[in-house]
This record gives sequence, C-alpha cells and structure tokens, in this order.
Amino acid sequence: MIKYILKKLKHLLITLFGVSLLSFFLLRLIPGDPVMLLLGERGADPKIYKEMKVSLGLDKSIPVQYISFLKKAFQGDLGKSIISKQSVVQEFKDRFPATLELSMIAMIFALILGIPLGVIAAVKKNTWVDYVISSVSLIGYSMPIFWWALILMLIFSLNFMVTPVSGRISVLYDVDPWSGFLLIDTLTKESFSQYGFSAFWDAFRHLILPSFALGTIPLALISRMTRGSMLDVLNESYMRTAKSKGLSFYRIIFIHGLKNALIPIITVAGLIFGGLITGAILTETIFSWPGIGKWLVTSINARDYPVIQASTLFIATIIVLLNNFVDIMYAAINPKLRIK
Amino acid sequence: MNNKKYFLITTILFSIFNSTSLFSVESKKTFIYCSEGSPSAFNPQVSTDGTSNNASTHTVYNRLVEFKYGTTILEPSLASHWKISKDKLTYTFFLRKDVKFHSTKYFTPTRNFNADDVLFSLNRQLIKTHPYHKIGGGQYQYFYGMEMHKLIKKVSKKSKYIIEIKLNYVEAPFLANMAMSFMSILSKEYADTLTMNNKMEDIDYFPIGTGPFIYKKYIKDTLIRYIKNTYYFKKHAKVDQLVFSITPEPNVRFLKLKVGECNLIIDPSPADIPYMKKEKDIKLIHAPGMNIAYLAMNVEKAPFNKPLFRKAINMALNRDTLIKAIYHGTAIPALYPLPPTVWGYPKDGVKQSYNPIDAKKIIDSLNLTEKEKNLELWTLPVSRPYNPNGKKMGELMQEDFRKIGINIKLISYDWPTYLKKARLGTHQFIQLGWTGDNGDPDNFLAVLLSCASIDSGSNVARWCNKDFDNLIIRAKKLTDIKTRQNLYIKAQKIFREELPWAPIAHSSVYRAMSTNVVGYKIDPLGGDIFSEVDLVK
Repeated sequence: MIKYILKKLKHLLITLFGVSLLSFFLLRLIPGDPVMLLLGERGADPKIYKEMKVSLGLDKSIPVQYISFLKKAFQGDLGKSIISKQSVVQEFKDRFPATLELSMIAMIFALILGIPLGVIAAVKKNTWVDYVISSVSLIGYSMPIFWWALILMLIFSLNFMVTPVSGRISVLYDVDPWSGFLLIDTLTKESFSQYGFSAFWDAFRHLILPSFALGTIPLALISRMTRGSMLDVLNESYMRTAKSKGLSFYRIIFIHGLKNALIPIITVAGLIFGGLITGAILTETIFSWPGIGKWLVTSINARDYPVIQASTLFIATIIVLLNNFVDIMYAAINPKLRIK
Repeated sequence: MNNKKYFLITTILFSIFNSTSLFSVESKKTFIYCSEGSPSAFNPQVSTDGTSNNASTHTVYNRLVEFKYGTTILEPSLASHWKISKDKLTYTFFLRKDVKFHSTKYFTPTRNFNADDVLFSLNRQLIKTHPYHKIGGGQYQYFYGMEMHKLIKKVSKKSKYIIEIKLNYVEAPFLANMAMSFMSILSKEYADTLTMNNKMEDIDYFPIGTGPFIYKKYIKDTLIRYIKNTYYFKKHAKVDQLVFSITPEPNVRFLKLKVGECNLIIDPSPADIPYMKKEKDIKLIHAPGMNIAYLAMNVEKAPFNKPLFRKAINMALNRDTLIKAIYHGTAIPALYPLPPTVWGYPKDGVKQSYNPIDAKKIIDSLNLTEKEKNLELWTLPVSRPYNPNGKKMGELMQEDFRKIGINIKLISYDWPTYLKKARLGTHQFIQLGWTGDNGDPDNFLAVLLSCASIDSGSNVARWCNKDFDNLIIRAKKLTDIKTRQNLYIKAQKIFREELPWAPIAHSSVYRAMSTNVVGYKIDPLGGDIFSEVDLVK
C-alpha cells in the first residue's frame, strides 16, 4: 500500500511540473503586457516603461523567467503579486478557507438532499414522483449559475429579506480570523464574549444562498447518480433475498440497498468536491465571496502573472490530490488495483 | 390542525431568519460604503488606481495643501500657509504644530508631525538612493507621470516646521500637484521603527497618517475597517466607524443598498439609474465628471492628416444619440478637450453641429482613394468611467460614418495590448478618454495633446501643433489664473480649428445612497471622501 501511495506521489510531482510548464507558457501567449495595464491611459516615457519591466522581472527571456520561477518555487517562494505586492502563498492562505467553507457547506447540502431524492426517484421509478425529481434535477443541472444566483438573491434577499445579499458576514461584526472558517471563528472565546451567537448566526445566514447556488449542480448530479445506482442495486439478487426474508422496507432500501449504491456515489462526490473548490468562480463573484475563484479571475484580468501561475498550481494540486485520494481509497477497498 | 401546525412552524422559522432583535449586534455609528474592489496598497505614493486612492488618501492621510471638499479650490492643510518666491522657483511651506499621527496596535507615535515627515514623504519618491525608495518595487507612477522628478530640484528642511522646495523650472500647477494623492504625508518616525524591526514593506500596507480615520483592519476582498481619529486636527468625522464593504458587482451593490447593507455605493450601473430614481429610500446624486471621452484620429496617417477630413468626421458624429444610447443620458456632449468643470474651459463654446449632409460634401470634395474610405476604428475593450461601452459606441459611429461614405471596420484588442499598440501609433481611429487628476487644465491639455506626450504614448492623435504647444507651455509657467485661463482658451480654439479628435462626451458621476445619509458631496476629482458624512435617523 505504501509503495502504491509513493507511486501516486511521484505522479503528482510529474503532473505539477507539467501544469507549471503549461500554465507558464500558455499565460505568455495571452496578449497583454502587465506594465501597460499598470500604466493605463497615462502612458510613460520609454525609460520608465523599461524600468518597470526590469523591476517586475519581465525584461528577461521567457525560458529564463521560467527557470527562475521553478528555482524559487522549489524553495517555497511562488513570488509576489504584481498588483498587491504581497506574497502569493500568503494571499492563497488568506482566501482558501473561504472557498473551502463554502464548498463544504454546498457539498453537505447537495448530499443531504441529493441522496434521499435519488432514492425516492428510484423506489418510485416511472411514477410522477420520479418524473418530477428527474425533471428538477435536469433543470438544476442545466441552470446557468450566474442567472440562478441572481434569481435567488432577488427572491430571498430582496423580496423576502430573509438572507443577506452578499459577503461572508455583516460588516458590523469585527471578527478576527483565526481558522479562516467563519463558522468556527465566530465561536472563539473573544468573538463569543463580544457577540454571543449572533455573529455565528449571521455568518451562517450569509452561507445559505451561495452554498445553495453552488450546490445546485452537484445536487442534481448526485440525485441522478443515486437514482441510477439504486436502480442497479434494486435488481440485485441479494435485494430479492432480503425481501423474501421479510425484512422491513426501511432495512431493505437503506441498509441493503443504499449502502451498496453509495460506493460509486462517494467516488463521484470526491471528484465533485474538487470541482466545487476550484470552480466556485461565478458564485464567488456574484456573492462577493472572498475566495480563490474570485482571486483567480481578478488576477487574469490584471495579467498578474505570479498569482495566475501560483493559483493554477494550487488548484491543480488540489484536484490531483483529491483524485489520488479517491484512487487510494479504491485501492484500499480493492487490492487488485494495487497489483495493477 | 396540520395546516395550523405548518403555519406556526413557518412563521417561527421566518421570524428567526428575519430577526434582528433576537440576534442583533450593538453597534456604534457605522457608515458602510460599498466599494468596487480591493486596494492594491494603503499608500497613494505607490498606487494610481481610484480604489486605492479612496482607501487611503482622504481617510488616513493629509497633504500640505488640499482641495476644499467638493471643489478644486486649494486650501491649507498640514501647511498652515506658504510663500512663493518672486522667480516662482522656491516654495516655502510653514507647517502646523498641532498635528498628531495615528496611534494603532502596530505603532504609537512619540512626537507630533514636523518637517522630517515631509522630507521623508517627498524624498522617498524623489531620491533613488533613499532607503525607502526601492521598498515596494520603487515605482512611483504618479510622481514620475506628473514629471515631479524633473520639476523638483531639492526639498530642504529650514526649521522643524518650515520646508522649502526648489524647482528646476516654473510650473503653475505645482501647488495643485502638491494637493494630489501621491503627495500624502507619511510618518518618518513610523518608517524608522519599521526599519529597526526589519519590516520596511509594511509602510505601504499598514498605514499611519494624520487623517480623519485610523486604519483598523483590512480583510482582502471583503472589507476595510477604520475608526474615527479623535485627535484629528481638523473638524472630526461624524461617524464612529467607517467600513468599506468590497462589492465588485454593481447590481449587487444596488441590492445591498436597497436592503440596507450599504449606506452609499460607488458607480451605480447606468442601466440601474432609472430604477434607483423610483426608490423612495434611495437618494441619487450626480455631478459633471472631470473627464472626457474622445475619438482620436492619428494625424500621421492619411486621410487623417487633412484637417478638412477631420472636420467632416466631427460633423458626421451624432453625439446626442451616443449620449442617449451609451450613457443613458448621464453625460453631456463634449466641445473641447477640457470638461466644463475645469477652469480653462471656454464658456462661449458653440456645440459641434451634427450635419451629415455637409460632411458628405466635404468628403466628396477631398477625392479620397478607396483605401482612404475604408478605415479601421479601435473600440475601447473595457468599460471606463468616461465610456461605459466602447463596442456599442463603435457600432453607432460605424453607422454615422457610413452615411458620409466612410466604411469602418471595428477592431479591438485586450486592454493592455490596446494601450501598447496605441502608444506605438499603429491605429487610425481610436476611442480613448481621460479623467483629470488635479483640476488643472494642464493635466488634460499637456498630457493628451502636447508634442512631448507623443513619445510617452498619451497623445494618441499624435498631433503636434507648435502654436498650441507654445500656448500651453507658456501658461504652465504663469501663476496668474486669469492669464493662464486666456491662454488655455486660445489653445482650445486652435484645437477646435484643427480637430485632431472628435470630442464625444463628459460623463456624469453618480452616487447612490440611503436617504439618511447627509453631508456627502461628489468630489470633482473622482474620490469618495467621508470626513463630513453623517447618518441621521
């Protein structure tokens, strides 16, 4: 097993090298000079323009820039943002908890609703219940997030005024980041003594709409997968045996059926979670959620090369790690895979 | 029974979600400003964007001289008064003695503001060997963009409270430049403490100033929190806390204002303005912006080198339609390079007539070749305060020019490439614009139309007229406003005869706020200033 994990780690390094190489060179293919972007309409005399290029390290040839980037990356230095002049690693650390918190809540929402809906649709196969659930799933899956998020905002924030419009917590709460997860930070001794539960409640209310918007597609996917997987399981002989033994409906469906049907769903859920962490760009933009998705978009618009390179690497690492985790879990369950 | 039970549960849940009394937060008087983005730094010396300017210039810092709130009139600030030598090459500033720097978690000052702080703030930008010059990359774009490095010969301390600045040449807008954001005064004592602690880079991110608000906290992409400076040397701020709630999407800012999560929002979308006007809890104010949108013609290329051709282009543009379609009526047509809010604007200006028939006659009389009748027009690829939709504007222009027999191919690049190519002069027609920095006519005319600015890339018409140039150079050397005004008016008359651009519009600046906000004025220089705002019940 250890050998298998080491092999996977070796693959991870090769993948990351490939990602760094691709992201670095593809980035240079995007038209746009970051110095011109900084200068704007004002322009600058050629001497100052050149000085700025030198100070940003953009005067050297692209391969030289890449080697210098790699050297520093091996020492844990991914550079500084051209715009904020802050360490890219620090910027990532500041933003990642926000994305992780949102993705986790969205995932929990998708699982809690998606699995029961899928089970119901499978059990009530070809009835109106199944048709309704399947149609809603299809609509949920095809819904453009940008539109959906705005609709949610209009209904719940503007008309019913039950959820806040955007952000992570009301600006009236001055909560110091400790873990970066506001649901935890609002319960620290310092924050709790100042605000009681109200800060936690406010942070929770801020999570409702973004996690609902972000979790809609995974919810649709999970419910459809559960339905399919359950239908396969329901036709298995052990299900018939369970029925003939006179077990209760609940035991047959949830203990014998769902337990077996969940294996492929959990695998997919792992991959979906990776997608959520890295794909919350639209949700984060609309809800002014200060996570890595929004950070990446802003950096691309500003041609902030160090941030784009580093964030691409971070995102690739997360995806590859999650994929490898799923593979390792599979291998743990099925020893045949380890031999392969 | 069941229905009653559901009704009860729903009501309880709704009340919990909607409750403010159950989980309310006790707060001081907090003003929430919904801003559009994160600042790149908390020091206007090293940043040029409006977002960073709002986050530090008028909240945390002061300058020796400042613009009176809501105007471009200069008034004393950290300098109580000043003296200008007869040859206009030496400026002596007499500093106030009662100004305290902010005391924060990360710095406690032991002395008041004095000449050392002015020396430090100016020399950091001016002297390349200054220990702080290279900190943060050593780029002072505004300082160098305004050519202050060429203008200032020496800054010297005459006494603890007297500073003398010697200039290399006479420049009338110098005092106005001193009021600009990049001339903010930082604490030398704080810089020394940072040097001792080996944290020099913090100077641009953890600000210490003398302004009406003290920086408390910044959470990237989320908020900036300030508290009132109770030692402020001018009138104290009326709110206890100022919060910038960072909300990049304009429609989300509108929603937040509507539900009371913001007190004031920056740059409402032109499309939302009609809806805002209908809201009884929202107050919408606007003022003419200090900006210009224009269509420049590259006079180095044919047929743009013919003044008659340029005149015909100006006559063919239907500016009223552009203003209606692009600005939703929130702009006024431009006649000259200067906006009417700048004092060198010719008050007797006659509107450029829209006359496609006469324009066509001119075009026909020029006997243009086929190549000269098929031209390229570069449309602005990004939304700017002076032009919210370059592409749509290009399409309307295309239609206007078609009527006079000129076929236009619309071209666009990404923003940095657009600027880079414009600087090289590869374009024919190009849409661009400008927002003023300091309210001085020179800041428009010299930056956008002088012969020298062809090289720096900001004169995209590449128009160099010696008469025009001599007038603006002469005006720059005078300090008498009346004489300068006359020279600038004369220069703009030359512009109107030559028409290297088709001036399009001056867009208005809008701000939306809740009706309980009082004391807010639109800054003609584009900043948002909160030292006098208040919230009433």
